[in-house]
Amino acid sequence: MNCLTLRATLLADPHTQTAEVSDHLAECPACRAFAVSMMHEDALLRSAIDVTVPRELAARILLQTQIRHRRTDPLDQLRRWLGQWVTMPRMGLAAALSAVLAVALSVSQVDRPSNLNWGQVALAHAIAEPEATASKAVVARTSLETALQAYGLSLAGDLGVIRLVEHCAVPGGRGTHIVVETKDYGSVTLLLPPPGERPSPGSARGEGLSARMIDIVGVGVGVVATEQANLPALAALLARQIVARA
Amino acid sequence: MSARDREFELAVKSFSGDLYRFAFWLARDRHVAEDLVQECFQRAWINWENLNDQVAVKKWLFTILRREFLRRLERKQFETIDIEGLDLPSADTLSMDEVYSLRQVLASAPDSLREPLVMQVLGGFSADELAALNQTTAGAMVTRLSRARQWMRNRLKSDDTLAAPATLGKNKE
Repeated sequence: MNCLTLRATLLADPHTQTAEVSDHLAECPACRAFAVSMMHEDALLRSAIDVTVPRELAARILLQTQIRHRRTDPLDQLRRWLGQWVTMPRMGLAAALSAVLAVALSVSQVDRPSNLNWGQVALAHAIAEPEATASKAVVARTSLETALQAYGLSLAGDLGVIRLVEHCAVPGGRGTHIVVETKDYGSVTLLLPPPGERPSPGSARGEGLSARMIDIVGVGVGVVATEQANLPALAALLARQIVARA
Repeated sequence: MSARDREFELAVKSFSGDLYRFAFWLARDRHVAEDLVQECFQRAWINWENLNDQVAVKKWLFTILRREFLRRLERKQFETIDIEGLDLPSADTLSMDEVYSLRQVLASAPDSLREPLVMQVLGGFSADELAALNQTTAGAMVTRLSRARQWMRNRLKSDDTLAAPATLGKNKE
């Protein structure tokens, strides 16, 4: 293999690893440098091609498949699908599924929050959006303050690093999904119902997460954390740092 | 959950991301890209029973998506180039400017060059596999891939309006 052939080969595929290529590279410093530059350019190209994939794309595809192609009730199918993840009573699971459906379909009104165990809804929401819980983004404090204003709340102190503040489709309309990296309790998800809605209290566990609804100045907030034992302390922290707007 | 359900779910979770990226670079529109991926998997589900070789599922899905894109292209020419509103992924080794410049160049590449290049990078397909997917010969595919990479280099080197990345486009020889 000569230099021209080698370079033509690498231009077509920089990852080519044949004996001929290896032999030539071993004895030709100029082509070795060319190969290194091609690999580097390929990595750059990969970064450029790697556009952000919409959140929950896979969940939407699976849901669409259920709806379009299966004869059985999609809710029932989804219940079975989610059933392997979340351990909760049948009716509770149905409520959580309503929340997952709301997220996946962006349907604004699947069920009223007042009929749902908001701890289960928050847990299902957190499970359905794992990348939100794992987010390492840093969101400005003002975003959280603005979101809380809609509920007549304000931020009195420091909760930790704010990773996500997003308006999401939840049962009853648009709620607020917040992820905070707390100093003592790790990543914590908060799910607020649509402003003015009063969800039912309750708790749930599944997928290594624990959730319960706590009341903050009359607003039902679903709190999801990894350790169930931390939930009371987290509730106390939230009650101290999130207060009624003056 | 049946074996078919499990296999399909695994395929959706494994390949929907790369298929979306492929669709995006075909259509250059986020909404069309998501539609294409949705349609691809709906068609795949209908024909899932006919899939004899699970190893080939990735190649099969890329083929379905490409055919769906061509079908839509026959009906309507896509006009939008939705590069401006892209959320840039975090890339440790690249600045956002560099990624943006590369994307502009990639978006402006002729379809015949961009398509196999994106497929190769995303799917890891060999020239032979790409040739089969594109119904052409291996030799012709090697030529297209070489031209695509050379085109990218030349374009970045010659276009002063772009902040060309430090390496891509420089002549290393």
